[in-house]
Amino acid sequence: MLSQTRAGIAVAVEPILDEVTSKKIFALDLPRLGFIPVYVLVRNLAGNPVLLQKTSIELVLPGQTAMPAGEIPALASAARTNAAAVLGWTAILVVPIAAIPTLVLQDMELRRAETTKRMTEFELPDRTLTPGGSAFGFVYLPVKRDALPGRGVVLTVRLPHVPADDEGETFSFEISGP
Amino acid sequence: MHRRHMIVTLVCFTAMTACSLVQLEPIQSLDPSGPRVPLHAAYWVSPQLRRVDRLFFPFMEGAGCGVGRTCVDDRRIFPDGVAAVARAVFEDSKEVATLDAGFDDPAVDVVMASELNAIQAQDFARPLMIRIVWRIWAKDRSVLWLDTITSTVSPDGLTRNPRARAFNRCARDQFQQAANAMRAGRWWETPAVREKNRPDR
Repeated sequence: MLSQTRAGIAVAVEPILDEVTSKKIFALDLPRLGFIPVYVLVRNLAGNPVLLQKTSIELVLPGQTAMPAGEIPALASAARTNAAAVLGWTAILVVPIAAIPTLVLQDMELRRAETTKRMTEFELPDRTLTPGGSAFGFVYLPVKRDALPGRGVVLTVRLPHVPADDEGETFSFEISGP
Repeated sequence: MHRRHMIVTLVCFTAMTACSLVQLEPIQSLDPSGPRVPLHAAYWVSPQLRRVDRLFFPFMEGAGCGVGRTCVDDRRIFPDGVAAVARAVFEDSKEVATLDAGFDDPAVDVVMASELNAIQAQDFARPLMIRIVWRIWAKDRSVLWLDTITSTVSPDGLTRNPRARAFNRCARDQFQQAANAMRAGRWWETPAVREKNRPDR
């Protein structure tokens, strides 16, 4: 975990890049699907409140514009999950030989639904961090693991003061690619 | 004969349960837990929150009360809840049709709005969950206060009525938590906020 403390604010980040850890936490290999989860922990020990918003957390690749943390993607839809379940049972009852590929599809769809739920549960909350306050959770950066170069990748966490009269504090972390 | 009676009783009981109306408690007021913020607020209920009952809760489909349906659509849980939060937190509050209308209103000190972040209602293996992001802006559109509130409730049963009642409790808990959090930070007392809301600015 990478961490920095400045002006009374402590920030720690841990990007999840490997398949095993991602599957353990989210049930799917998210970096392969195009969403790198980054665990973020912020503690405000300064005298003023700061604003923690997911959109203020960005990934900067060499020579590219900054990519802010995005919304949680709809990896699975309720309609697709239900259709997969119906198909699976129909295949078992009517055409048993077709059951195996259908059940594989069904399992994949259910796993995607589970992943979306976990991503939602573990998401970093947007909030005002009052003095003494802290927050933690995951943000999801919309980039594939394979697109990350070996070096030069920077994750920035900007924490404006509240009311936002100035830029506040910006923390930069260099991340090593896979 | 005895067995037939049991079957008839069971069928009647099932039919009565399926057809009963869920009488949900409307969210008009919240429990006070501190002094009100001495500011005039405008609050905006997003169209997303107005649609939430119908979109996410299959047991609330259909407008109005009817056999096997709840009265939730008529109760306007989310619009009423946001209004109750504004009343509980601010000395004076009024609803505005758009955010811009709130910012442009000279009689308003701050603007409050809420945005649905996540909802969990259809997976019976998990408790009901509502997560809403609440924001308060100064008139110059800078954020004064922001928090993400999560309320979670486990239903007493899996059928429609216990889940509808649990949803009602979950929503009430969301609004009560939001009101408590907004009153707790004393964000309105910082010199910067006083300066921003000076009448001559």
